[in-house]
Amino acid sequence: MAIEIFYDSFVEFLEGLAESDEKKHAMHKELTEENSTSDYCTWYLRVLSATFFKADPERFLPYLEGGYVDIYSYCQQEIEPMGKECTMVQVLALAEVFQVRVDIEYLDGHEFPSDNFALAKHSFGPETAATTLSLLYRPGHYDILYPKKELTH
Amino acid sequence: MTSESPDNDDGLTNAEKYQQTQAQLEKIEQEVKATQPLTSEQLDIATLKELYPADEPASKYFLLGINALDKRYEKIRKTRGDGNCYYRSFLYNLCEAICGNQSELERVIKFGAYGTVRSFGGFGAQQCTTLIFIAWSGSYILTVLATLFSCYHSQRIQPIRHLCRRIRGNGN
Repeated sequence: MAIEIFYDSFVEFLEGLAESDEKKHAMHKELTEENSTSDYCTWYLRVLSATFFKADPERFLPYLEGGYVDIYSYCQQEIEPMGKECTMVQVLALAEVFQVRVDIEYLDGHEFPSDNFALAKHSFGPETAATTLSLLYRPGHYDILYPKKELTH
Repeated sequence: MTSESPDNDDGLTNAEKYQQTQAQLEKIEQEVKATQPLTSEQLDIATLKELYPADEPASKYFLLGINALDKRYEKIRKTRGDGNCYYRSFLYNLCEAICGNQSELERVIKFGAYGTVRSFGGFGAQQCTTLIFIAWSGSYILTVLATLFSCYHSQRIQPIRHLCRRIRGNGN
């Protein structure tokens, strides 16, 4: 009952935001509010990733780090808790869950092999995905990148 | 040795040391919150250079990498370094990406309302609670996507709510 009350009141609040002309500003404000939407949705994405792991344990078990021998323990300790850093396998899982392409540029300070200073880029998710996300990885951290428009056409 | 007995050189008990550590962690957390928004505004790529002093040898290839990024990318949006940065980055960028794509928005909404439970169906009774909460949480994020971008009228959200209520009812 408590969950339903919370859900209904929050949906009503969001419906009010939808009538504003400043949609992108409203979204930004919503997702930067402390202890609110961003946290709730982040936790949902974690649970979704964990469920994806559990749905195909044989596929993901060989890639578990930290000495885990079963998917459920790994998910409970490494994916579901807020604040736990993401591994490459979780990056893959979330891309496949939503069937989107995630391109990640790696700025990790490695020595460039030639004069062509191009960062390593890895892509996750289906190649034919209609939606592509662009992220930047620095050791222990991810940010969002926005490709130059002339390079996306 | 009890938790009340000093057990180290600084004379603090285990309990006192734990409290001291907790206070430090909370202070760090407050500093992070004060200096880093959950998600920043769009910033120039060059702002990354502030993190890598040019006079430090270890910065060399980071700075070259930033120059390479500047050729391909227009802006960067930073997320808070709290261990959730990938999920926050994914969430924000996904919302931006599907906002201008009606078919993608509909696909994500359909996935969240129906596909979530279907895709992960076959779990036993012990997982029902998880699935119900996923369905509830999923409708939460879908509502954020749908209403914030006005791609769906509010009456279209009703079927999602009804689905979640039916799922919650079936799980009791």
